[in-house]
Amino acid sequence: MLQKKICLLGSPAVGKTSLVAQYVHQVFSETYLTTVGVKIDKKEVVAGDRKVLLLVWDLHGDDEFQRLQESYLRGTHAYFLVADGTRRDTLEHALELQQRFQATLNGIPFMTLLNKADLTRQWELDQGNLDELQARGWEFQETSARTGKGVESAFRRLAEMSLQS
Amino acid sequence: MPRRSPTTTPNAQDELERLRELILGNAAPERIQKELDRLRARLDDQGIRAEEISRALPAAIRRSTARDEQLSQALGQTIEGALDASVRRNPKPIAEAIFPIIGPAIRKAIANAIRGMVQGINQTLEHSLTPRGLRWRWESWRTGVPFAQIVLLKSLVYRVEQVFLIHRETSLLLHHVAADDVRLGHPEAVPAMVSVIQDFVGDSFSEAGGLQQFEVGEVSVLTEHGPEAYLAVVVRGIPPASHLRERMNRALERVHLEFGAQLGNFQGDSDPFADTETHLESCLVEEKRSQKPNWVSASMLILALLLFSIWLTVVLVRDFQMKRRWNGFLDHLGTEPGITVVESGRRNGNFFVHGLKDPFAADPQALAGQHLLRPQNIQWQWEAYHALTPTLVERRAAALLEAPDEVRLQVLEQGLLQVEGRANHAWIRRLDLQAPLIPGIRKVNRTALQDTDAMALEQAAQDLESYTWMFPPQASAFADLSSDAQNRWLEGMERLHRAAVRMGLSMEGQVRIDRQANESESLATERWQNLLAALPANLRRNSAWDPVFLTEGSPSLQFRLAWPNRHSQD
Repeated sequence: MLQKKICLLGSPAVGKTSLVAQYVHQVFSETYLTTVGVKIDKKEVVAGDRKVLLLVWDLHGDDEFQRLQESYLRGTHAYFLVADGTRRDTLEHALELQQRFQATLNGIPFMTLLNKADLTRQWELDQGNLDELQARGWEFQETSARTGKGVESAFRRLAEMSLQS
Repeated sequence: MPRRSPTTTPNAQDELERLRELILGNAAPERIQKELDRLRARLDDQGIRAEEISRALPAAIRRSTARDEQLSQALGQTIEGALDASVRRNPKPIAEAIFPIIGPAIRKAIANAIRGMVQGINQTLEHSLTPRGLRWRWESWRTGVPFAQIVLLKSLVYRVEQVFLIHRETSLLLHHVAADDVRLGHPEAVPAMVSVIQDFVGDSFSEAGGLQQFEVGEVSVLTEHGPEAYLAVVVRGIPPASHLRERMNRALERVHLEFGAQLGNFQGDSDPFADTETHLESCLVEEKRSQKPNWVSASMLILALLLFSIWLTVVLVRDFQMKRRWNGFLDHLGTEPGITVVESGRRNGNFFVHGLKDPFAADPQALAGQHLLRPQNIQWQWEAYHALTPTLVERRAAALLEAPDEVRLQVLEQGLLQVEGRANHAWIRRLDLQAPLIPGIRKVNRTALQDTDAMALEQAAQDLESYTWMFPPQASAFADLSSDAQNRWLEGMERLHRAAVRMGLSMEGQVRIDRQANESESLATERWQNLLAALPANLRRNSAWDPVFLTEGSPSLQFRLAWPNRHSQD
């Protein structure tokens, strides 16, 4: 069995937990998020022609009250940066997180999820900013934890990226 | 075809030289000769040939094996013979060589045998009635855990239930083994959480080395770390930590030794680590609780069984006796006249009997008592009827007729009531009236029954007839009658009177006059009145005397004593 460790990073309340809540096999209670700062679930996807078991580490939102533990990122094969499309600062915070954990995350494939795609009217993200990041090689995927839009394909794509690395 | 001569011409000699140059170059003939000698020596020298073949043989075998199975088939018999000869000569090298293969195979076979034995023990316990067995069964029922598992858990000091081999950097599961009857949840996700907890605790207390052990309910998780991977074992009960950790370290060392390269290049593919199973299984150890026989419990159990047996025996014997008495009682009822049992049996532990019963039949409750049965424990239901058996008819007649002691009743065939003995007239009249109305009686024969009143009447009449009252001529007063004779006459009249009253009879008498002596009828009347005056007062008071001359001019005055409707008087 091929397994891959996947992390979800992002500001609090961007919808990380909601993204995994309905689309992965929940193994542990969500109370772990507030206790040890991480919750681990698993999801089996087919990437290419291989079955891959993703061990999804949902890391508690990093804020002034609880700092994200770098040790949780160790050994990850790929990761999601999750931002809330209706809150511009969450994308900036995602960038900041990536910078902060550069030592651990350097060279590891990642994908940026722009969540809450069902609320496009309240969209705050600057397209120019996104284009600039895309030009630097960033991959974006609009997702909606509410409708499920883009979630499955995002996991599949990240699994493929982890295999290619 | 004609063969050409081997002789050479000068022209041919040139051609041969050219050919030699083309094949051998410009080498000198001496050098060529030397090379030929060397080649001949290689071919002739067995040592050199063996050396050369030994170098080429591995590659040749590999190529042959890859091409087809001819070499395997060719060598098969030789290898078998060689093995046979080797084992006969010295079996130790072969035994040591195959030990790594035989070890796991034997362990597996023994594990299967033990599993079968445990199942046998479980089955024995399942059918046992020990308090502990019952308690475990109750616990199994309450918790929903299979009984066999409860038995196993309760009889173990500790047991390693699961072993996880975890990649240290990624926290991914490399391999996992578990005891046979352990329920597996999500073994892939457990390593990650164990790593998280270790990191969390390590970071929280800023202590290097991380968490070595943590406990969850009855389960402990022990970890041992290696450079690339670590082991986490799940233990139920209290393990001897040093002993177990030693095993874990040994297994971890073997894994690092044998799978160092795979660990260093681990990219999430756990398949290569399936071969670590033997090492991980070496950590699946357990220790059973010593099962000392509990003599107190055993003796208590034996005593309880003994008491139970006694109680059961008593109950069965009593039940048997009760049934026997009940059957005897029913047989008795069946022979008892005037009782017909329609239904009988046992309902809700109580006996019942339903049927028909003549009121003059024997009392069933008294009969039950005769058979040592408690009537109050029997449900009775009787419908009344008249039985026509002679015994019952006789009993019924005796009860209804209230026969005097001196009377004997007997019912014969065809409903004939035979009455013998002595009875007064009134009872005989009652017999005549009532007997034909009694169910079962068709005829009455009382020829052998004496009427005591009739006999008394007859006797009194005889006594009185021996007395004659004599009147002097022309006189109306008695003459020459002693007082003794007078008293006996009066007593006789009394008896006559009583019998006549009982029998409802009247009496007649005569007073004679002598017409030849010119005795008048008035004299007769005076004589009668004097006679009447001599009677006791009760006879006079209760009697109506009607003197009548039978015929005109008759010498006799006939009178009648009558006690109409006075049968019961006196």
